[in-house]
Amino acid sequence: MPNPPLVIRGKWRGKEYRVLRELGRGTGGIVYEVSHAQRNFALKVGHDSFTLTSEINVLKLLQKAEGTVLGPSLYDVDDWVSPSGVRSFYVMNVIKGVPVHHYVRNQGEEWLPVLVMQLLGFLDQLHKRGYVFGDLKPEHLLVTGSPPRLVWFDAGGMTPIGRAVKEYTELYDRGYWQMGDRRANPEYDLFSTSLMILHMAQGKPVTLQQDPLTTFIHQMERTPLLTPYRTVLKNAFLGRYPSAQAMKKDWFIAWQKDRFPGKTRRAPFSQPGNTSPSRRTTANKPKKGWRLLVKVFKIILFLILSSFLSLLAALYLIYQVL
Amino acid sequence: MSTGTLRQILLITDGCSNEGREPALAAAVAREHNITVNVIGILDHGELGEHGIEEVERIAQAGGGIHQVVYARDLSKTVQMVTRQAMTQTIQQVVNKELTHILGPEQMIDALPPEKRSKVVEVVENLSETMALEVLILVDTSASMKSKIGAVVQALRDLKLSLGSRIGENRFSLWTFPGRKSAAHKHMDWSTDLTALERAFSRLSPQGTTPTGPALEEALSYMVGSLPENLFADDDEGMFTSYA
Repeated sequence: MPNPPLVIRGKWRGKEYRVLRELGRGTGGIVYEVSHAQRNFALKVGHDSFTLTSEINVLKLLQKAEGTVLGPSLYDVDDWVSPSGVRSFYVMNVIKGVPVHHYVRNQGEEWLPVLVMQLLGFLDQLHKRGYVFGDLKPEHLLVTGSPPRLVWFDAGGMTPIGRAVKEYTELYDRGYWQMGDRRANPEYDLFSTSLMILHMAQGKPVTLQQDPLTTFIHQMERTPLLTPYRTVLKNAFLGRYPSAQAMKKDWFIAWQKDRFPGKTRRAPFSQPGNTSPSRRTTANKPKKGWRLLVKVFKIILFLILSSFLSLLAALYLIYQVL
Repeated sequence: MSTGTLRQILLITDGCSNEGREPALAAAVAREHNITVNVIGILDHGELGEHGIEEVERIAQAGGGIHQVVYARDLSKTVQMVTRQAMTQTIQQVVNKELTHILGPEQMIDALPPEKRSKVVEVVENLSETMALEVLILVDTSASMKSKIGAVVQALRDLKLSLGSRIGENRFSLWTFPGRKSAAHKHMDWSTDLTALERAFSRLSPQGTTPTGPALEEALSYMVGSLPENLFADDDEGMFTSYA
């Protein structure tokens, strides 16, 4: 459409929206900023009604989601009789913010780990509702407000767990990276998350060269900002986290260790193992004084046991002689 | 209905046909057998030109399918997208037909009020995820395709990956044209796998003309020949007839 329309009127519910400007063109439609009843909204007109309806179905499902991460909330769903035919649209709140990779690059390196925690919390909620995000990339995440909070938009890739991911971007796609299929599961989103974090920390997306794992590790090692998180990122890349919660837990521990390096030992770069990653890194390390006490106790126990055994042996010998 | 099979022919070419009958003819016949014909045209230094692009569009229209004209680097993404879009499109068409049947003329998915439409969309999505799919892949290997075969292999590998992530079963048959003795050469019978893919293309040396029409005709008669008999019994139900 060359010029934005002036007014969009709903065919079924009759609400009228005055178009202010075009906000952007996403997968499957154009988003306008509109005003209705003295309030501003974002209105998405779909390229085809089927795809848009499928997106609306997911949005409806997520309306009651809780947590720190915000997403679009639906206000109206209707059809518009446009000059070029009937077009479906939905109306949501206006989300203002900076794309997450720009935010991190320009002002928020410190905030990167926190934003990641917010994202993982949101993903965990989404997965528990039976959906994966699918087309997870920095362009679909905004940072808003102060203190910064993460906001997501574009539900076009959201797919029920167990099905083939609806929409994806090759740079963050497990299939393209030859690290698995495109079946929607939590591991799929966490794989995309690992590449997205790398993108945010480096300021540019990572492109696949030769061996996928080598490319990933090489790029990670070139990024000092991510040094504390190497193990977690590698585990996510390899699909070792069964849930976003497990990854969030490890991410938090890594963050903590980075903040208080004196108090805890830094975990060595872990090798692929068969135990679950969260269990391995969350095992509590006892404090120094406590460890000494245990050592002394062990020595005493050993002494008592050995003297008891030698006494027994002596008694046996005496018995034999007699 | 969920046990039915969707059937498609996927034609990948970089040029205009220059031998035999017009390809849209065979595509129209395919459509009569509920086989959708999708066409992907590759742009990079090929002989596609204006005529080629028009032909790509014409074949897909006749075959009730989707067409895309892309550069080789976008082939992977396009091939899987076109295949999946065509699947939902076919199911939508059937549902539309049923709706008009039940609710009268002009009652299509798009004309339903949003709440009802959202339920129909769910049904269509369920079907396209769970229905069996048969794709006959027909690749142009005329001389100009030489530099693009790598991209084609990559794209087909990716297609297998994407479709393999569905719940429903997939079967593929792989053909190239021109063949040595005939218009098209069959590399692989119906199979759930595409392992023969690499082998088929490694032995290939792209050469010869572009007999798109005759190649489509040959592939089509193979496909129709392997259809279950009862498909012809009732025209109306054909698309969703199961193998029962």
